[in-house]
Amino acid sequence: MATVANKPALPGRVESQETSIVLVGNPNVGKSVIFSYLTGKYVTVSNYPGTTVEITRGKARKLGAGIDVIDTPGVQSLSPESDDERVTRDVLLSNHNTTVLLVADSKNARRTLTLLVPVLEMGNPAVIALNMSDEAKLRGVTIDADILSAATGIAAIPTVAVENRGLDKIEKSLLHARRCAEPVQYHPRVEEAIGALSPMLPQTGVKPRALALGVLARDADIAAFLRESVPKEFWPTVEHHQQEIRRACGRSAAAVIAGARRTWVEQMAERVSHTAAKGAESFTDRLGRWSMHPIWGLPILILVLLGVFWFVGVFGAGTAVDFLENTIFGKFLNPWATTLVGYVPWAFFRDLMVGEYGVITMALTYAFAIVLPVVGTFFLAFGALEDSGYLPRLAVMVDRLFRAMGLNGRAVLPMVLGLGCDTMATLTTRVLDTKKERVIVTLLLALGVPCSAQMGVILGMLSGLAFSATFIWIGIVLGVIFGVGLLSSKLLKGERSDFILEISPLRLPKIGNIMSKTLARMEWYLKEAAPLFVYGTILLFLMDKLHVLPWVERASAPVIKGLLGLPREATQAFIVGFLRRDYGAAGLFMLARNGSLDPIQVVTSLITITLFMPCIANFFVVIKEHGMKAAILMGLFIIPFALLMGGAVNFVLRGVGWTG
Amino acid sequence: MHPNHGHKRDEILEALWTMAEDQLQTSADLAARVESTRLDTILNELIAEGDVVREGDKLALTEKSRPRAAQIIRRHRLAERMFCDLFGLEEQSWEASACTFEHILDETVTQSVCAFLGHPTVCPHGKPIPPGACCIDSHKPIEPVVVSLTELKVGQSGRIAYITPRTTRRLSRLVSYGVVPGSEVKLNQRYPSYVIRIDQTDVALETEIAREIFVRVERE
Repeated sequence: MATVANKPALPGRVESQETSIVLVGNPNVGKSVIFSYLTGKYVTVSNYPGTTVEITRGKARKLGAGIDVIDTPGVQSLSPESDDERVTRDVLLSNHNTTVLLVADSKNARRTLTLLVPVLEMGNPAVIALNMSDEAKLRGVTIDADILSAATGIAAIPTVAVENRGLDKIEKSLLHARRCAEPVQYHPRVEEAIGALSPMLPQTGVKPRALALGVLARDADIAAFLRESVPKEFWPTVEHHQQEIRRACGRSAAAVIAGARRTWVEQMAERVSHTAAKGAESFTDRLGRWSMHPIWGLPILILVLLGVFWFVGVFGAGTAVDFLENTIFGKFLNPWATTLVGYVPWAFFRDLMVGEYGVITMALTYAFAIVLPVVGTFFLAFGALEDSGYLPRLAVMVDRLFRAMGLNGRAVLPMVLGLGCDTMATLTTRVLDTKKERVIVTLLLALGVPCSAQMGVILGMLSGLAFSATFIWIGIVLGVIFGVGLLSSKLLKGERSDFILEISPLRLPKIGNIMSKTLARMEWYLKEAAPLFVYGTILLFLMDKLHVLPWVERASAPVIKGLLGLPREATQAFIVGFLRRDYGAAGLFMLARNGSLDPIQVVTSLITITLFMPCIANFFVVIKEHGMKAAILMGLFIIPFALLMGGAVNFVLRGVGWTG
Repeated sequence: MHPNHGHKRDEILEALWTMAEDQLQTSADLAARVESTRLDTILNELIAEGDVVREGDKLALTEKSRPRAAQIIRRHRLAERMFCDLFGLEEQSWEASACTFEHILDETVTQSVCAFLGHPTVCPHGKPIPPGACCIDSHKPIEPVVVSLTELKVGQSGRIAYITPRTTRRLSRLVSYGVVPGSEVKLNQRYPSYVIRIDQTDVALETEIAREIFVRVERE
């Protein structure tokens, strides 16, 4: 094998000489839980395939200084079909001294082995964690770790990651992880081609054999990876061997290689795994089936929605907000702050802190007393839903509906997460396969999906009105989401992707996991939101002090009063609404509570603010994901649309004489 | 009939059938399709025996020869389907074999192949396969052994015989979930989406994809 000293860095390669451990596995098998254990660092863990959309790096906690641990998106194979799979393979291609920890779902020997073949061929030392061995046992599946270990030459260890079982053993075995001999012997003609191509390949983090197999199978990414670093005669040689293989085997090289791997996987699966005769179906299995049943699925969906509504809307937005706002802030914090700030001699500073537009009395009260409890309860509920495995079933239920919007059921995760935080949800649109789907979901999130903070406030306002108000609001928002989705699916070019989704088993969520997930999300949210609340308040404060506010209120009167039929003070809500939709909604909440809004005004203002751009942060994320042009186009559509829709509602409701 | 002309005679009948599909009928078109130094001799034999009619330069099959030509075409296209779907071979490797098969399959074998493939109606090139007795007799069919996943009843199991996904991307996604020929699959649900269990994995599929998965049903 030719060793080229000091080869220049390959294109697209991240040079790293440090030892690192890379976690690889199918989606939803527990990589992130093991990552947290190895690094002591929290990453969002859930029972939904595709939660990890980027690689996460951390320093190993116990294994020794200088060892990086890398968590990768779940993959089905290492021949990249989506961006996630590309990310994962690039990590393996570009790092030297990498130990692979293959995290396996013990129930599914075949899928694990399918992934194991390319990992072993790449030649990294490896360890297999046979995770979720408890679930496998429940289903009567046994997988023989010793046989697997003996056959592949690498350590295979049964684990139950969520209960920390077996993870200490994994940690130890990673230190002396072994390489394996080539697992699959290919057709002699393929082996000959590998032998001929290997000497021409550069030294990289992976074995030449893996690269040779990749180019023979026409893997475009490996070809691009090698483009600059192979001699000129390499590509003609590859072509020659591909033709020879076709002549010898009657099939393309890609088919021959895939066939040999499949045979190896089948034989190995027969040897290592064994399924006992099935016992009675467990209750969770049955419940899992009912929850996506065309008839029983609906009552279950309604129960779930009612449960979430009760917890977030009634408990979070009602009881918790009341307590925090009236008792904690109203009786204690705000009076204390007022007294404390009273010692400061400058009136300007006093007003800035505790005045009408005070950072403490307005911004922090909104952020912590009104928004935080709602967001917190929503994330708790969402965490429980995620971990239970209900969301993929919801995806099955809504698939047909989503298809009309140019999407498929897989888009349900970002859409539901958007009810928590649109910004966070926009980031997860990456789990979708096509650009068209990502753009549509991003637009619908920004336009019509109210985040939990806003939703809490909205539900609070609607609860004071007749039920028909809630009905009108829900109807119009759903109608807008569906209509705009339908329209954009027609207008945007591109294709909808296939709906093929793994349905993860229903599991009883672990409280600890939900709590830590909720805390991590709330922390993220507060870092994102609280500063914007403060900036927004300072903006209002300055406008007030400079007497701009009355001027802006007058200037926007034709829209606010004429079109929407709202009192002048509502203008403030819309000004801060540009910064954060929920902050704007909170302003409206205050107005409604003071009795300054009649039922029609409440409904009109709610619809307008729901359809507004969510917040500045969301706007930045849209720029980051889709570029400035797309973001501005969306903004130019959304803001006038929200105002016009609000206006239409105002006129129609007044026209028909609805009184709430 | 001269037995040693058998294959060539079949080839001429076959060519006249496909020419008719392509709206061609002159003897020049026939010469382009059938390679033989003795084409004229054999053609004259066929005309003499009433298998082919000639009007000016136009050639056509007769009522007498049409059923025989249909059988040849049927065997050829069924063989193509078998090589393509069942063995996943690529075109250049099966075209020659399909030509051999059309001459050697007898009626019973042809019927089993047809039933095994689920009475397909078009060949891999999209040309119609003339139906055989087994397909026409749809009231008492030899129940097809291989059916699309969409034909399965909820709760029924089968072994995947072949899959014909429209894109390679779809194929590799299916393969990575274990949806490969040979796997055992159970249909758990049809609506709102198809839900199948392969090994211990539940996978939801949209109808269009489920239709492309063909399983060999286990008989009770």
